[in-house]
Amino acid sequence: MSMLALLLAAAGFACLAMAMERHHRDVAGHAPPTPRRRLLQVLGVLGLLASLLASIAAWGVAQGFVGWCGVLAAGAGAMVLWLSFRSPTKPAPRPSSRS
Amino acid sequence: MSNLGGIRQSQSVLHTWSGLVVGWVLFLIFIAGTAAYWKEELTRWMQPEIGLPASSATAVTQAQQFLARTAPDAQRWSIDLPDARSSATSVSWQPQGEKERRRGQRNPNQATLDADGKPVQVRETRGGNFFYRLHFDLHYVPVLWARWFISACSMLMLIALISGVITHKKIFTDFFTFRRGKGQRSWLDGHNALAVLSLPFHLMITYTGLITLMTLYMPWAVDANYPGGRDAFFAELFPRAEKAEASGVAATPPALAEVLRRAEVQWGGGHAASLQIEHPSDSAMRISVRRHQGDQIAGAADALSFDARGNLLDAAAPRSAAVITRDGMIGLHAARFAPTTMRWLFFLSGVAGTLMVATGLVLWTVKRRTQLPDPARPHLGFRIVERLNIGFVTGLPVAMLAFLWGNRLLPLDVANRSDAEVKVFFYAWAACVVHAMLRAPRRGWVEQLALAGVLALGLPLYNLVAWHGGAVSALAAGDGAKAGIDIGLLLMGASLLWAARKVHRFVPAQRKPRAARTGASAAAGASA
Repeated sequence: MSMLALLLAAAGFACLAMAMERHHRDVAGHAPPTPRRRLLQVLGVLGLLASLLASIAAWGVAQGFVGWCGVLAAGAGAMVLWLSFRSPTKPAPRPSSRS
Repeated sequence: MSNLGGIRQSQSVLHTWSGLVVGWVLFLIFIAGTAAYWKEELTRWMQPEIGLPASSATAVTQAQQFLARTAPDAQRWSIDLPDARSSATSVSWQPQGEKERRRGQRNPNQATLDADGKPVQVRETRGGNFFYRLHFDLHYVPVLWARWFISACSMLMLIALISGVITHKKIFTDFFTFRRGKGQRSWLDGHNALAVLSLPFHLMITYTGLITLMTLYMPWAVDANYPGGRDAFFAELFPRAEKAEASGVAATPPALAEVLRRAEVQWGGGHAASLQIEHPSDSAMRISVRRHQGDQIAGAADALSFDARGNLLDAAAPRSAAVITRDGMIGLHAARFAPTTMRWLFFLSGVAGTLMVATGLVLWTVKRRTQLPDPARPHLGFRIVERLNIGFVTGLPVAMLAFLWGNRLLPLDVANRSDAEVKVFFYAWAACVVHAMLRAPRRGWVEQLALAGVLALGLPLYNLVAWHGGAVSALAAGDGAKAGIDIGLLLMGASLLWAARKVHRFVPAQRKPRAARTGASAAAGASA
């Protein structure tokens, strides 16, 4: 059940990331149309809520909320790593951000 | 907007300096505290003589038999029961007429029992408890001084966290952002991601950490209400059962396993952690059973008392709301309640916190290096920060791994063996700091990262050869704790070597000698 919570959190964050213009552009090559953004946002929030329910099912109410914080951190962390490492040598999209 | 900019600017300065001044201590607190999430498992790993523990009912019966054989006339018996994480039953007794020993004093009247109830010779070690104590008591300094110091540093950590959140311009826009291979930008992204993604954990751990020490640095409420001083306060907070007086009529204790069962029913399915039997050979004996702190989030070592026939005498008074709140916060901090999967999540968040501090420290130098008048000859302050970063961020993992190696390699009969292990830790750390001062910074990073990686990879391999198949046989025996430490060390060693390679291969940007390293390279090294 805790694994399900992790998967749901990762899926939820994946939707939320894809609902953002920058990451959608990185993955799909173009900005997402507004209806799709809305849908992804709703799906993302639902995914996170479902992962809360799975956490509660796994650990009970009190510990479920505590565990959920850890689940969210792990899920979002996985998403950051995936987005960052999926294309090894990507040309810099923003030349101005060079430091 | 300009006003907000002004606030942001001032918070940014506050964040930079509150973070830098105590950053090295915070790194020590975070890395040792994170390792302490596996305190019991580490102790088990560090005493490989013992296998899997017995169930608590079996263990208590064996302990009773052992004590009845060994010390039937003792003034007191103490039994610490194993749980799913620790490995053995430890028993101790206090012979008639002997004074109670102070905490930390060596007690010759004790034994460690294995799953068959036989006493085993285990190597003397502080185990995972060393990291646990180190993270708030430090070492070689008086405990009170250390705790004052740790409190002050934690307070600055809280300030750094809050000012950091205010400084961070685009928390939500940059939520998933980590741009690799862009020098300072990457370090900032990494620092932000590590901080933001585990922000609930960081706030919780810093705040509850401060709560654990609150009566030390905020004593006024206690002073105002308890004219008798802090001792009177603690006596009321943690009442001690009155001492049982011996009656002079001989008796033998009831079956302790049955007493244990009654206690667990009384707790509604809770678990017992330890038992104490006063006057075990007298009819006025008193048996107190303490509850396992990991039973609830707001765990407390509630005690139940039983008499010579095993009947319940009294239970601890119910805790007040304030005490439960405090216990809840301490419980969240120590995570004694956390089952294995959740423990991993706590550990991961702890690793994120450790890396957040490490990347913050490195970021300070990365940001300033580009502004140096002559990057080849930085000023003294810069050089001190740069070298201390190496001495702490990679020196501490090396020292912690050296401590584990000390546990394996020191002769078993060396005098004060557990102190010798601690010495290995501090000698290794001192060597790393000196090494960092002597070597060019880049070489220093690479060499210490590589050393830590080799030390981490070596331990599971050594176990495989020298300890009956190491992780493989531990897994076969169902000993997840021992195997988990070995597998964790393997992963850690691999990522440390990867980080070392990354730093070694890094080509500085043109015209900027020794500019920022790539991505999370050195940062990953701190995950040890």
